[in-house]
Amino acid sequence: MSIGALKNIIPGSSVVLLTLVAALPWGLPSETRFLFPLLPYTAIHFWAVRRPALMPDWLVFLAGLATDVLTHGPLGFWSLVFLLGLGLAHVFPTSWHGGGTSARWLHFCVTLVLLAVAQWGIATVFFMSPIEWKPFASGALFAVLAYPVLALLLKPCDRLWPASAHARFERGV
Amino acid sequence: MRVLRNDAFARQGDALQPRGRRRGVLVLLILVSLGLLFLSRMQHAQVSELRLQLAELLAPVLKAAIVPVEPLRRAGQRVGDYFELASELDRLRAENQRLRDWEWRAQESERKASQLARLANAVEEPGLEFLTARVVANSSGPLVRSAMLSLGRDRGMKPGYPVIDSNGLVGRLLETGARVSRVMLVTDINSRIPVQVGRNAVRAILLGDNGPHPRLGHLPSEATIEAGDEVYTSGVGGVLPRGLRIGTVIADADGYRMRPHARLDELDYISVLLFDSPSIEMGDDDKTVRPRDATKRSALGRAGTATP
Repeated sequence: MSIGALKNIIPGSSVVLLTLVAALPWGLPSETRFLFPLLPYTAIHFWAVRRPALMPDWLVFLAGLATDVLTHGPLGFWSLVFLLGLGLAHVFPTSWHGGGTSARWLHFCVTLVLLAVAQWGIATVFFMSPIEWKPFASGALFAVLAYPVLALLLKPCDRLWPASAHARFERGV
Repeated sequence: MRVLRNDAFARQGDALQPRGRRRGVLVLLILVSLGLLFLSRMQHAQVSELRLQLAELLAPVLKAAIVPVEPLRRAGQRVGDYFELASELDRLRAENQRLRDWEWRAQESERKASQLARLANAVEEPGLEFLTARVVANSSGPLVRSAMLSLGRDRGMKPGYPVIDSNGLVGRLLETGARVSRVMLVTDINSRIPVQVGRNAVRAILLGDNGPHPRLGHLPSEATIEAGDEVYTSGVGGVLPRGLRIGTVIADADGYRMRPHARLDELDYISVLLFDSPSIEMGDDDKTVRPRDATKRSALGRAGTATP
């Protein structure tokens, strides 16, 4: 396998790695354990905004399915949440592209608020009784705080692709 | 010269598939997820089977992934333990004092009980066999409280078997695959356990609600229980054996709750009691209750350890 093809598996691998991290028994208090399932979504959003071609829908679906299996949640819950999140990541406003990481983080925050509401809604419909909203809010807040750290770690990987591959305008000539 | 990166045209250009087709795949997968969710809600047998098969596929990966993070996990636990050490020491000193008193009382009670049993010609209660294995994954969603165990049908696991750690009841097996099983913790929203509370053995039902402290429900109106009372399984219904320690009562604004003895947040190695519910055995083809092996070992005594 060529190095070019190898680097293309980085986005998918980062999602798979974070899915495993989310499921491992870390020995944390039960109140904090629901913080982790949104970790894979931070990587999904990161790559979906920067390299949409390398974050295919089926991979996001499988990541969600794996999260469902590993976190013992109802099958289809996290795959639905991640796919909705992917859809939201695809509607990143064109006017924000010049804003860099902070604009992407802001978009991520807005996306997470919507996702947290969607999660709560899906869970409430699933159990047919109102579920406590605080775990969903805390999970979203943790993901918001985790995003800059993850972006810092993944940014060097993003630079493996030539800038010219996704630059069209040049200025100052 | 400055290169403007990540412009809108580039975003579109990066996509390998046309937008419409990609959106179609996304919508299709969302519909598949909704379908799976619906089937999960209906507790469809094939969905449970699919889940177990996937869990079995992922179990070796998880086992391998635990190895490199183990030092990190232990370090985290040590830091937590260090902060709790001073208060834990004081608590243990006070507890030790109380236990010395209780030890003497227990010896007295044991002597009296064995005398009474001899007088009544009572049949000795058999012990329970058990297998110990490692937890390979924890539930980390807000919807369930469960754990995945590296023991399955190949080691005789069956749904319903009680699961304990060194401190008390953890939960019971919900689903069993060929090599892995899923444990529903006592704190899970679907967990309902018949219990007895305190020295008056007040009957109640322990109701999980996904919080750390399950609620004690269906208490008789004249029940007299107080914070600190022991909660243990009543054996009503025959699903769980009688007398397994679960936790202690804590008072709450809306009634009574229970603090589990088992360290549900730090589950590592847990034991499965091979307790075949008498009610299930009664339903077997031969319509007879199979006598349990009287030579079975004590559940909380020697370790019948399965290799994780």
